[in-house]
Amino acid sequence: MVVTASAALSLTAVTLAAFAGVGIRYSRGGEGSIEDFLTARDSAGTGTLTATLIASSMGAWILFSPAEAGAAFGGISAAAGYGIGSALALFAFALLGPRIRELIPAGHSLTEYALARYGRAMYAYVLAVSVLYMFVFLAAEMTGITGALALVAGVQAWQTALLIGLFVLAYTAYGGLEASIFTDTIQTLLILPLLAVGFAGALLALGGTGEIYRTAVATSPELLNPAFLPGVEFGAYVVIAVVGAEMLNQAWWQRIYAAESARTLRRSFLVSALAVLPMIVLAGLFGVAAAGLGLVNAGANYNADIAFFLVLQEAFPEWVVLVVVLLAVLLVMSTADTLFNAIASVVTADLPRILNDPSTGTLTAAARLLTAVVAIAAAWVGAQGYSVLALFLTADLLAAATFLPLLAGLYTEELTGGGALGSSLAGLLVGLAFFPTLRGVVSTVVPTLPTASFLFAFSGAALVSGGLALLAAQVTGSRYDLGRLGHEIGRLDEGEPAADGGTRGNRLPREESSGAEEASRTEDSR
Amino acid sequence: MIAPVAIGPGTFAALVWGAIVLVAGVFGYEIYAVLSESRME
Repeated sequence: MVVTASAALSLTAVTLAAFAGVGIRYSRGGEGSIEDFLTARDSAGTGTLTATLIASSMGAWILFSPAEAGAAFGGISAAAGYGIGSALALFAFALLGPRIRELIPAGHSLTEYALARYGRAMYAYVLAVSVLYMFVFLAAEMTGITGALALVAGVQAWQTALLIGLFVLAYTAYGGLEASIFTDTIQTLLILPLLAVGFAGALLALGGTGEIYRTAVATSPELLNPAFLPGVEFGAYVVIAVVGAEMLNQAWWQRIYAAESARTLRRSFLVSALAVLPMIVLAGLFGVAAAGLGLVNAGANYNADIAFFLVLQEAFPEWVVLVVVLLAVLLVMSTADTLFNAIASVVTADLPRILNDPSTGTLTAAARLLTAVVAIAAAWVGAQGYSVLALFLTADLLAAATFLPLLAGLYTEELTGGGALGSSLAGLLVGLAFFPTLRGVVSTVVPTLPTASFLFAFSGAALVSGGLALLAAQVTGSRYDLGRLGHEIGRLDEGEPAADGGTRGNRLPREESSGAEEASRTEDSR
Repeated sequence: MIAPVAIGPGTFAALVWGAIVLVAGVFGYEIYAVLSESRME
């Protein structure tokens, strides 16, 4: 072991306790409304919003996946693909965000948009895909941090999972999105220098870039070749996988509303896109270094998924290892609090449709309860040490087949719910035909399948679903007035007294809204 | 078969240190932006 379990556990516990305390203290004395809990509407300036975007993007996964890509999936072009995909998703929200705010000024979640725009069937599909992706992301984070602390310090998985689950739950369930954004800001201000200093220290400990380069060129020169085909192929499909999945990540939809203005939103998403790219590429280069040092095994002893930590164990001073442990804990906290709240918010925003006129107090209690359920489930899964890669890829494929039809509804009035869902399912079928991961299952239904390829699976899913959605919009016989979105989706605290003495919201009651929606859809048929 | 053409050592160093400097630059921007917000409040 590189450091003792008690040192790593103590550092982890102190860090977690400090942030839980800060988050709870910040939330005390606030208004504490359900709107604050779920969207922190119009509250975040450029610095705060950029910080929460960076913190939410950068989970413990950056210590695993980019390095694995750099070591085993194609070197620098594979690592660059990871970085570009993550940056592109944030860049896309810089363009989409103002449109979403304009059309649905009082919105909360992507699922309520899916319901209002496309109806129940597409809503149920988007809800399932979005929650699956976010939960798998969360489970992967918990699995990653438990694995990391076990590797460098021999900490038991259940101890790490329990500590992180409990402390993050404490401030997220109490303070909701506002607490998450506030702690994210501090975490980002720590993560950025730790990353810069930690990575620079690690590079110097390895003998500098010249030494790493010489070793890599001597053993695996293809990893430093930007035109290396497996790397380019991986880089291309990971861009589609990451962009598709992130479009269905509720965390970004919440933060679109948390921005104090559309200008703040645009600037923050752009700056955070610029920030995540070098962070991921840097992490990926550690995989190249691990392969160059001959630390990576293929086959039965495959270990490229921990390439970053293999380099770390090689010859590093203890302070660098402790910096990385602290960094990993901060990374996982900042992402876990975001995802706890995001998953809870998706369901909470839909509760008014299920419960009979719930009060805002009931909704806040439900949001807290849901946060606890998500935290307990994530901690439990994280303690098991499952491999979640296959699930992650499946969730990514589902998202790749869904995001274009879903988002097209923000721009075209002609695409119907049936058209969007049909396009998504057709894209999914094409993706599954090429998808290597579920080959066994799919071949029991369709015995003859084309050659397996992640690139064809992800690009096929996205292109077919997007193309069919465009086609469906051309041939449809009805249209949806996009102006209705703003009326059908309103604040959850509407009717409650507002600060100015009036009442909040202008949305029709849910039942009335639902009926009006159906009637309007019929009237709009051409 | 075309022999693999790796990037040069200078490009590799520029990539690594450029990324570190960019991360440090974003940190500087963040400090400035967060402090500006605090002052405005």
